[in-house]
Amino acid sequence: MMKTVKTFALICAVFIFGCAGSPPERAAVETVTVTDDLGRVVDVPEHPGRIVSTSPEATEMLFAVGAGGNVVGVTTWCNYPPEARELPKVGDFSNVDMEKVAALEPDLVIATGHEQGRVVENLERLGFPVVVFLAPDVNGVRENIGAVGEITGHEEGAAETLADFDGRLAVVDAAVAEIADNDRVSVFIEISTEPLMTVSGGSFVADMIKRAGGVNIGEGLPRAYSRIDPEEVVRRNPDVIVLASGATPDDVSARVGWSGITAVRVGRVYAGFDEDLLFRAGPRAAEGVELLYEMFYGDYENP
Amino acid sequence: MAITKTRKIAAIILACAAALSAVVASTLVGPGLSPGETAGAVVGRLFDGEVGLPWGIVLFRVLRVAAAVVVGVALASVGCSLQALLRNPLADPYILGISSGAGFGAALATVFGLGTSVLGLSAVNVMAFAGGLIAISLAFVVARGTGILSVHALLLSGVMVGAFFTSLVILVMSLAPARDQHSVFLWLMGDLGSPDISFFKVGGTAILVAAGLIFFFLTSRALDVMTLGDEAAYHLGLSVERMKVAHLVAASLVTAAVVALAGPIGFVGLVVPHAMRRVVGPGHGALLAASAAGGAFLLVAGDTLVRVTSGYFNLPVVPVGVFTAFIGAPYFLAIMRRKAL
Amino acid sequence: MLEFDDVSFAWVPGGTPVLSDLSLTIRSGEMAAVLGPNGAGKSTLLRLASGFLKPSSGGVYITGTSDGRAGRREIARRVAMVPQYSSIYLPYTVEELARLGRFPWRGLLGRWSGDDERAVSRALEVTGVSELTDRPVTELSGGEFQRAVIAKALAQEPELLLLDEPTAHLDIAYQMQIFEIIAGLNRDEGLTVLAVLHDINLAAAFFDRIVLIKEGNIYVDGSQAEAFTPENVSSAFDWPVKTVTNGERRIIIPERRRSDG
Repeated sequence: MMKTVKTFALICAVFIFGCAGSPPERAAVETVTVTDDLGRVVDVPEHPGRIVSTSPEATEMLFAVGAGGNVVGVTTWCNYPPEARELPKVGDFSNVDMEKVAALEPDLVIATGHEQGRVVENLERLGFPVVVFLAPDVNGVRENIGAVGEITGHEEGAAETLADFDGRLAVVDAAVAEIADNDRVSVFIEISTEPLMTVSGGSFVADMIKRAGGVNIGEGLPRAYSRIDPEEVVRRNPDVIVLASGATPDDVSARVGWSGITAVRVGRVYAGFDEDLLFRAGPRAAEGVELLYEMFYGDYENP
Repeated sequence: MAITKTRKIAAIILACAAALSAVVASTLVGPGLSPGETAGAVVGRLFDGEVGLPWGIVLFRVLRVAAAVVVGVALASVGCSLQALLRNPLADPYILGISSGAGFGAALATVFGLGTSVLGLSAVNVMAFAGGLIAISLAFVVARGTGILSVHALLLSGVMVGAFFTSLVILVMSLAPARDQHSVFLWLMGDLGSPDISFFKVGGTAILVAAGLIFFFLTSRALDVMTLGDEAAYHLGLSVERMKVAHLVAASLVTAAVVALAGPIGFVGLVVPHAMRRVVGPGHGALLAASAAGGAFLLVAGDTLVRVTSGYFNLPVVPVGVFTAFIGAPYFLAIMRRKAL
Repeated sequence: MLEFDDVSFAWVPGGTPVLSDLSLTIRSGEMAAVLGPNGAGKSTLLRLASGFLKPSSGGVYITGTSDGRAGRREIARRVAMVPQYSSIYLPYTVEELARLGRFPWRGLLGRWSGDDERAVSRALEVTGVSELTDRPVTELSGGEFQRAVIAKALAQEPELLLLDEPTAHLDIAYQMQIFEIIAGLNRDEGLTVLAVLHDINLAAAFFDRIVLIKEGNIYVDGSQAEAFTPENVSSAFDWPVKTVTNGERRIIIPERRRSDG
């Protein structure tokens, strides 16, 4: 008898907990249909009041267009603008805590494409509208900024941001157009030292380098973020070396065989800058292009 | 067919010759300079004192090949020693947790973005070395705690400690940003092509490995005796505990050093002694010599393949452990088939 | 040669003793067999004799050696052990195995000398394995293998040879062969022998001195005639036996239970 009762109670418990996992009821809202960068078609509430961002780029974009007040949750990597750091955290880049997201009751979640496939799936399953922004190049960022403006109803803010963005790029574009092809600077950007890695043509950073008028020596490598043999770097003899790996210019000149590289000989090994400017497909990408231009053709000096 | 002394010597000479050829070939070949250019650079330096970019590439390559030799010799000879010590033909240098501990150290160093530390050694080098030693010391202490230092206790504690540190590595990686995750993951697969390779690093490791190798040679008879069993070894007058401890210390230092230099490269330490045993017999004097040469050959050959495929064929850089497996596994299988196991 | 002075041994300090207050003296040149029921402590006694185990109380002394930790190699030059099972898994040849028996004399770095060569040749000859020197021991039959192991022990040129049921899993031909060899060495060269045996009749065939162990202590210690009385053997093993003498050979016959009725 007791055994039957216990089994029955157990089955009930399983049902109750199972039901608790279903999506919460939502009041009917006006929605807008958005196609995101992954081709997903999502119904997004008009002017969402509570937005969670699991993407540092999206956080920057939201604040830039003026929707910062609607952001209720960010990741631990969302460090710009400074106000974003005060917001509740839902996790880091690849691990987003669904409970924390649910607790914030967002109307919309904006994610980035890299390594967040699982996150997006989980959010969808919980019934949250998720939009993914994944700009492959600098122009893609412009579109994302515009989209964020539309979704949040901050079209004006978006337009202002874009004006600034385009303005900076226009200056660089003009300057770059003046440079003859054989005066172009060859660049090696190091994103990891051990193992030695750089970016190839398909990556966001590579597009920024090209925009700034540089020639990426890693252009033809097989993958967006590729290992490269140190021999090849020496062989290709870059004019400029950009260090985004934690290595310092002194480390680089100490490397066997590297002291002969043009960049090392003339002291054009750059480090110590804000790496987020180069790796975030957000509103500051234009600043990043400016920074690269300064390194390639301007008077940039290491801090 | 009996393995005569002549056959043993011939095998060792052959292995050394293979290693030497691999070294020469590896120095000539690479994405930065063609063999002709390499020869030209060497000639230019020797006769005209030219020290341009080509010579720089040659120096780098020489260092890299030297590192491959040092690491190959180290892994194979430690594999030899541990297979005898643990009376287990499937033992490899990492069986007592060193690679996991080193991986944890390297992961920490990468994620916290620590740069160069002392004497031109990177944080990754130093922390990998420390991590490896900590792991095996822990395994040793745990095994010791159960009483005499039995083989079972060592194996069990080594596996446990290894699993523990592996989980720590995974923890660190899961909390890290994507770029660091990728870096750590690739480090864990082993790599001889670090741009920060230096004479100091390779030389220092070489000295440690040479000392270890000399120690293994001097105690090769003891290794033979130990394979007879703890009790039999005692009855032949060997201080078994002391010998085990001494070997563990030597094996740990050597392994930690090469893992700190090039990451945990697998296969070499397991397969080379095993394969060589079938060719030169179980006597550990000859076995060590053959294994050292064989290990050098295997790793130099593997690293050459890495550079050739990535350089000439523009394939992604494949971890060297993949190629050592590609070369070593078929050879090993062929040997196993000739003499039924 | 070998003396046990009031030796007790327990695996765990303060636990059940395997041997209690055991005293035994083996004189040089003797050939003694240790027998007794299972669990009586025979193998433990042998390992205490070789120094592999240390007594919980009392002392074990081998004449001419200081039985301390530094004396391990010293002991190995005087005492050799042939275990019941050898866990040799690598294919050393018979000759290589015998050469390992010289380890107590050569150490790690000692050069191979004429003495070493002689000791090994002799050991291989005496055990009758000279034809098998190049065969890997892992490919030998049971009898051949045990002879190779004995060759290794003899290469140590011991004064005292300890054997732990050396022929337990061998057929009678091998058993006789091996004990003939050992008896020959005892007779011709004065090798002192202490063997743990299971087979009473084998002991009766070759051993003059019999030590019967029961429940951790000596039950009977003396010549064959003294030890192998039906009364002694029956009480020691808790099984009725009778003895029969056939010329010089004594034979012990365990009685069958008669099913009456």
